[in-house]
Amino acid sequence: MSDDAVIVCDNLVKIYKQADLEGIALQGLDLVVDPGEFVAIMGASGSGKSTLLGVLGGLVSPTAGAVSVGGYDLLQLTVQDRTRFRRNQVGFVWQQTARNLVPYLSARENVELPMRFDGRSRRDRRISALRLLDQVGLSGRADHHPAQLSGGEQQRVAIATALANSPSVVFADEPTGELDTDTAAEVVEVLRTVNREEGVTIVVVTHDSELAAGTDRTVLIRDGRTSTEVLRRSAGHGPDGEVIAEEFAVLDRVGRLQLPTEYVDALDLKQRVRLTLDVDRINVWPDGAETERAEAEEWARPGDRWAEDD
Amino acid sequence: MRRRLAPGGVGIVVWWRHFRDGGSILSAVVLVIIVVSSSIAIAPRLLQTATAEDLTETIRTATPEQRNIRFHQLTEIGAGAPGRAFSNIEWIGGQLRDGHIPPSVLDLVSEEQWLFDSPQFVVGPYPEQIQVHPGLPSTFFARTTEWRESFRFREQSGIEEHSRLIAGAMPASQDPELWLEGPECPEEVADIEEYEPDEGVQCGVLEISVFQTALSQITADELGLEVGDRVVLRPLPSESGFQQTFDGVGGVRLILELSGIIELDPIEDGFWFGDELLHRPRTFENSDFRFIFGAGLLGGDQYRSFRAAVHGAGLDFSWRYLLDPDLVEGADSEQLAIDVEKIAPPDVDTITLLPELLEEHLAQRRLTLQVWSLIGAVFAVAAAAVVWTLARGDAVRRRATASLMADRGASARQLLLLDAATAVVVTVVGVSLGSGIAWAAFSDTSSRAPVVAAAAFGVGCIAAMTIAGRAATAPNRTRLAVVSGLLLLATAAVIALLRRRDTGVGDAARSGFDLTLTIAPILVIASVAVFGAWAVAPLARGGSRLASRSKGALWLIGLRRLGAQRDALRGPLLAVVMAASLAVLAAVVSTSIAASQDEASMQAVGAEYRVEMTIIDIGLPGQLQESFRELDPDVTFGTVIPFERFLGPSSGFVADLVALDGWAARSVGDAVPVDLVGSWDAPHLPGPGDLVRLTSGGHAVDMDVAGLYESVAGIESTRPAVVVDREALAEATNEAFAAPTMAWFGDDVDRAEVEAMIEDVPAIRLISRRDELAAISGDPLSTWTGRGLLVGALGGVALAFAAAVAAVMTGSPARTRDLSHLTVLGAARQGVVRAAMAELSPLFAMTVALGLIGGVVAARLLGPNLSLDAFSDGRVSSGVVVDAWSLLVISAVLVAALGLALWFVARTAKRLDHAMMLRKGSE
Repeated sequence: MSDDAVIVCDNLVKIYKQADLEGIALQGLDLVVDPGEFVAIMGASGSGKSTLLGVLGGLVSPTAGAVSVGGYDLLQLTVQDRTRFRRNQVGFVWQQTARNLVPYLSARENVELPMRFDGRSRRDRRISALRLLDQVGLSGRADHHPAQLSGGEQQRVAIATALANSPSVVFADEPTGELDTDTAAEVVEVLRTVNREEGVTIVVVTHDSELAAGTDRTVLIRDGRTSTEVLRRSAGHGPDGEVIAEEFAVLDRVGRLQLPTEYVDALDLKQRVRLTLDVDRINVWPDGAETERAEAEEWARPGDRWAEDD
Repeated sequence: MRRRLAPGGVGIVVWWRHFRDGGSILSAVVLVIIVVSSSIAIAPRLLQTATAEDLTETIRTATPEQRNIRFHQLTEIGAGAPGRAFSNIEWIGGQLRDGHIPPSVLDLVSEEQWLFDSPQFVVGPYPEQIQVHPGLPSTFFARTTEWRESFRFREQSGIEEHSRLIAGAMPASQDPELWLEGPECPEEVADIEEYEPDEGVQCGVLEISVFQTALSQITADELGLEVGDRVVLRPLPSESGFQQTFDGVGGVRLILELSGIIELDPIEDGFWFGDELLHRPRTFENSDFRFIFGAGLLGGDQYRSFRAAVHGAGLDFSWRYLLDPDLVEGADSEQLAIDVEKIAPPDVDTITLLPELLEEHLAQRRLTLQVWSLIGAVFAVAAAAVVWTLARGDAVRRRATASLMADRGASARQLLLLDAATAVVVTVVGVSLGSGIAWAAFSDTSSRAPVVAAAAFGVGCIAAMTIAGRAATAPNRTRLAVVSGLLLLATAAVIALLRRRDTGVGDAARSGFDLTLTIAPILVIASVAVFGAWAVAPLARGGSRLASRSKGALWLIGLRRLGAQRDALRGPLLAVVMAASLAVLAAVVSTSIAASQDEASMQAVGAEYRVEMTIIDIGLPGQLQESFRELDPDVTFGTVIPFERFLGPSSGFVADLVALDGWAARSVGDAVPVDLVGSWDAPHLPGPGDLVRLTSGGHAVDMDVAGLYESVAGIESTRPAVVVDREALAEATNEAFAAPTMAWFGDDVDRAEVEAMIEDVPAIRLISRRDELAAISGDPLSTWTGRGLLVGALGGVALAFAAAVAAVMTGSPARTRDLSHLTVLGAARQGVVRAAMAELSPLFAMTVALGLIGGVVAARLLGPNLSLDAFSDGRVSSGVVVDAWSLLVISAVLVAALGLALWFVARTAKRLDHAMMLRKGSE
């Protein structure tokens, strides 16, 4: 991770209050995203991923912690800063079309809309909009209204719209949630292309493992914290240069990490675990496993045991 | 470096698309604005037209004595040159006109006339000499004076154009007659011109002036004269004009000769000023006596000699200036009222009721302006609330788009400009069309008020729509609490201000718009509406708890939805309450005016029908009285004897004597009538327990005052009135004196029967309470005020309906989705419909209740300041009347209107395509 990360979350906490009930959506989440990364955020329902997206997008104010996106401290935003942030720093792609596109504007006009808010000239808007639509493969549908576009086309227009003012980060919340597999793949490909060609950092919240597999990094959130990350990078020395995915458990700054659920279940880890430190690793044992091992080692060294009998 | 936010809007193209997307809601907003702005713009024009009509009508329906101006003077004016005997009289009339009648009043005068009456003469037989009878008794009690007939000369300018000679000749100068006068005169002399009495003989030769006159046929018949007959005239002792000359033996004697019979134009002709003395003599008659007071024309030829014959006696001169009602239209009534007060030439009596007529008209105009302005203001505010509600509904519907634009970087100002531009366009179109309709309907009136009013309403709508667009989020309870507190404070302050100032209209509002009175009902109604907004939450919670604990009833789910939607429904609730309050306020004020007019008609007539003799002091024929008793056993008889002299505990006074049957039996409150009762309607008069004495010509009757009353129904008296029991009065004086001249019937009597009974009786008329009510309520200002209140009430109902529809639309997608869920889960259609209606029914019921409260409270608080008695000619001191039936009717109408809105909900629920609804989700 580099020091000029585009997204930095440090011990982020978000607590919701509904009448007398409190819900803790984020419980000290840490996250760093570098510029140009294509990151997927996954997690079960209620894990806090949508809340995280809301916080990062400046739509939800965190309860505690620190968060900055594109150099903006999201806890210190004035009203004007927030508008500027949404206009120039971030772009959004939502799952529902109604949240992405204004129904009474054409595709081109939708893409131009953020540029209008930014006060750009008509010529500049038109050129930029057509370029973006071309980039997402819809240059021929520029004058169609959302109702005249398929779901996938609508999402592609939404992506172009999100890129209108050249944001540093694009946030996408389940962009393929309402799409069939093939269409979803098209949309993912568009996102990937945009990430690659424009260098825009993209953060996607998704349940779609196929989409996540296409990203550089997948961050899993569990119980309001980042639990594991899966990094995908090409192996430099492989004969095919195939992408190798490595899964990491995320270690927070105080040294806590979440063990993958399958590991926990496999070893029936409950409550406490034993840790041992080797030269290059930390071993994690179920409670009670040390004694069995010690006994096993003792049986493996008969000389020592026989010596006691003598 | 961070760039500044772009200063501009979203662009005309985006705005236009956004505007078109508004669809039916914006159309509804435009429609509301058109209707309301046209009403607001029409109202001042209507008022101007109604004011002009009312002034004309007031002048037209007034009697000649009321509306015209008369100067009166008892004086001597010499005759002019031969052939122009009355030139001096005309000249004085011109001087009075030019010097003392303001131009604004003079512009309304279409005719001038003068007339004079000579003093009254007693008519005696000719050629017998009349002996002087000292101490002629003139008491009405005894009614035993010997003189029965009196006569006066009259001359009127322009009479030759309103009369025709049908027998004989017009009056002309005659030579005097010579008479012998004295106790020792011979009975006959051969040639009186040559006769010289012997010395010592008490006999003289007198030259008696002879004057001719022309009479109407009726007068001649009553006096028993034919053309050529002569009678002797002698001054009536009580005539002040003759007091200086009636000394000693002889005095003034004239011979009157009937020269011709004339036919006069009908008395209804305004030329006569309502004075029929030339048409018929005044006759005072009952079973004991008959007095005849006649008049006849003098003629210009005889004026000089008549003046010489009655030298020293003043003639009763009148100069009349007749107003033409048709010239009144368009006159400035305020300026007229001011100018009329200036008419007061010295040494001359000015007699006119024009100031009172104008004041009555202005009082009505002020009240009309008050009522219209407050109803109009409440109407405009309620309409703005409805516009806000509809705009908010649109904003809620397009919340997703607004949120999207915000996500895309639109600043708050850019979004505000979007809403404001829509608001401006919608409002300008609506107000322009509405004002255009008003102008087209009343293009001949010119006033700034419609433009100002419509513009103010337009500004209010722009503000309401712009704020609604920005307030499409959950309401801020703190803000609501602050607004509620400020509103209550402002309401209390304005009401305290109204209470502190004098009731009625202050000087500042004599001719104009009373801002305080107009704002007050708005604040009161707004306070009630805001209270309702707070009351929604407990109502919703109660409904939700009821729904939670009940089992099995599907419709209770609607109450649960009410709990969930309560915040969103506060806004529409405010608008419905305001509109309903407007309807109730208009209904209550209308009912109050109608009640006061109804009471005034009863006060004026005294019963359902009143029959009265039109000539004062002529009693109802005895046979007619019997017929009346047979028709209605409960008929009441009475009489009014004007200008009687009384002696109170400390001083004397003049009052009308009113004698009524059954007065002692009337409900008189705490007073207990003893023998005779008296009532007073003027200050500084004797009170209960005092004795007063009715005196006339040495005769007296003592009366014990048992009560004081402001007025007596059915008796019109401009002076204090002493009211007594008629039978008791007859017992104390005589039947002739207390003979009834009026009769009152209840509503069980058939009008046609009464009319048939009086058909052939001369000088009698029937007055109906319903006719009187129609006259009171039929003047243009009353009529237009009634119409304005009706429009206000109906407008309130219409606005309530529109606000209810907006309330229905609020949350419509969520409601539709929830009802679709119910359908998918297996709910029957009827159950779904009931659930839909159950959500809004309690809310609408509450708005009707709050509307009743708001309207009644506003009316009650405004009542003392509304001067509602102006619409009942000031006869009754009326306040606001809250009539249960009218409240029931207006409530039923409101419930029907709101029920219609619910019907839309039910209709939608029935037609749900649940699959489509669920697929579309909350869009």
